[in-house]
Amino acid sequence: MASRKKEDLVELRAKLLMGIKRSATREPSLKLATEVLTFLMRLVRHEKYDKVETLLEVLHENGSLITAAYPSEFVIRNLVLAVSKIARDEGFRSDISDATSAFNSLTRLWIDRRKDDALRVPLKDFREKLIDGVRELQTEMETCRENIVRIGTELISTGDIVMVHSLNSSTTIQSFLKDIREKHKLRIMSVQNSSEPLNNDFPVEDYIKLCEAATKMAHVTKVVLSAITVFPDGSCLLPPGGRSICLSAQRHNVPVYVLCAFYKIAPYFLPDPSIIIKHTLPGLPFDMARKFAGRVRVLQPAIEYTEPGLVSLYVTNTTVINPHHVYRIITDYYHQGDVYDSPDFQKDEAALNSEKLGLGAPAHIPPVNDPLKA
Amino acid sequence: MSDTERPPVLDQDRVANDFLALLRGDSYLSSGIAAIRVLYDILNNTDASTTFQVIAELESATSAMANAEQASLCVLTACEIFTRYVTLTPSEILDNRDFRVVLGFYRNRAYQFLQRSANSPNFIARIACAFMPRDGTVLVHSYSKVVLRVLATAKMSNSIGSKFRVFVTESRPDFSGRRMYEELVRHGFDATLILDVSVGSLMSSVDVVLIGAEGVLETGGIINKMGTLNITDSAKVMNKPVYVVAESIKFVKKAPMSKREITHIALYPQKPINMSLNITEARDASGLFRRFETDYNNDDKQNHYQQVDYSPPTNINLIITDLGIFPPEAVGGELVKLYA
Repeated sequence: MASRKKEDLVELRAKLLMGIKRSATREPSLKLATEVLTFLMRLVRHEKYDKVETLLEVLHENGSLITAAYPSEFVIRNLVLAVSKIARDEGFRSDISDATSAFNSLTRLWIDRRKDDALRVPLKDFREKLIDGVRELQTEMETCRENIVRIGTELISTGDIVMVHSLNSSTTIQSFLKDIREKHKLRIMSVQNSSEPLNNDFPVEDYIKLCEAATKMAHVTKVVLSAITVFPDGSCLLPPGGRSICLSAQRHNVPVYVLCAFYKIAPYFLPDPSIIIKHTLPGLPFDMARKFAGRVRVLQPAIEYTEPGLVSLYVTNTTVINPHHVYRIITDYYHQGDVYDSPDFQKDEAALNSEKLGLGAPAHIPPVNDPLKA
Repeated sequence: MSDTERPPVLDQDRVANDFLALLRGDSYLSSGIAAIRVLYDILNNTDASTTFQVIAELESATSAMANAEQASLCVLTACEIFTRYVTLTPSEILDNRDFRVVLGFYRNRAYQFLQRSANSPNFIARIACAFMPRDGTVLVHSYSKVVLRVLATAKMSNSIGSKFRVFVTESRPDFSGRRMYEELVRHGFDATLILDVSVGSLMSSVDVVLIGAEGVLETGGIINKMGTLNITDSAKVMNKPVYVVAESIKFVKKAPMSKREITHIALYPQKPINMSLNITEARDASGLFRRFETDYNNDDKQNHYQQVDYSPPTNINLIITDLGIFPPEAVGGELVKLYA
């Protein structure tokens, strides 16, 4: 029975990966996020485990496999970590008795609570609470778009000239603009890539090209963009063209509001943006492609890295936040143990022995003298 | 005061000697961790009978060690954090009539703290590895054990496949950068010794700046060997990432109002510049830095140099510690948790 369940899981995972692969262009991230979370919910429901640690291992293993297939889709990583956090929180009871004491806050930094069995929650309760937790996450995900729109529209006022980007690919921006149009009288300027078809369902006053964005910025009052991923220092990944728009906006002192759902906020940092920049098809005309084949390399990155200083505010589904404060909301969704003690790190641990590095022997600490036995 | 209340007399010389012996025994041991180790030994062997006596002993040991070598900021902060952590007890244990239970608790906490701290450079090296460039240049300043460990770990770690070269500043006038250079060459790095004054012009060929810290302040700024401010300012202008690696025992709960206040915080005495050195002596590369360590016979009070400087948080991209990776703004929040 256990092996059959395992095959089901492998099948589910394969189905998920095929689903992502099938889409030719980059789909709205909510769809991907919903599919990944559904997969994780099934994993959590059907997987057999006797300890919380076993579940965490299975979760991380499956997460690694899916992210290895699509390394530039950070949403997958974020959701695996979010579910892992729920598992850790529900699996180990916190000391409610001294929750407000300083002892607790300092200890939490240093001690590995998994070793303390007295704090474990019974397995049956844990399963139910975990499933409830993931269900709450799913609800939050379903309502995130409405919440972002509700919070974000406070920032726009009548008479504004709003510049947007990637209108075709971001359903969040589409909902956002629809909502503000109902509430206010304003002008919308949409920056379109030349290869993108015009979105005739949605009324936009001006369609401009990216090269015109800098000139038109002098007339714009607000810029609204949609992020692909946001990092804890406030930097973000935007669709291509986003960074140029931010730079022009900075030049003209125009505020830049970036919309991002909670699952786009990552708890880890990106050491080198160039390693994850994936390139899309160049979109050249057919006869040019024939002439260029083998001679010219046309780069069309799918993602741009933007510094924290270029963004004015991030609009999430719960709050509007300054880029320099993004790290504060990380702890709501992620657990530090997942980010820094991941299995990837532990594999290299054996190699990182001080002696092997040639940096002195590991310190020997004499054991504690128990005064009661003295 | 009765006999039981008077704090036990601690042999300050012995404490200082133990501390210096530890540092001499292992040249890669950070002075903060060595200080904690000495405090742990004292706590493990103490016959104090009240919490007040324990704290008094630890504080007396701290001042002994601080006076041993030139007053070092990381020794003081490490000892303060250690004392706070160890003596922070829940009320049910503190109310116990038998002090031996409390003492046992303190000793266990000290052991955990020491274990965690002794392992912190390895943890930092592990998570900082990813920030080293694959095939580029890293700029480091002066001699820092943590930075050395990060570079050595990145080199060894297969996933990075590192071929990066390292620029080391000479860091006059004590030439500690030469010591770093010798260590790097010994570890097989492609290292280049550069002049302190050439940092501005060489910054364009650098990819990453990696520096340690003597102290990390509440603002997110750092106190480090003199010359760090030049480096971080140049890096900021040229848009190069600056990563600071420091253990959490180096967090200082102070925020300087001006650069002049650094001397009060850092407690580093101003050192005289050796004016007797002439140009022909300066050309002698090999024995020079050793000569500087003992050659402070200059009485000229005007020509003194400050040993450390303060780099503001706006110059720093990320601070990598054993508590995690933070943008400089987040340091204040973490400090509150440590010192709460």
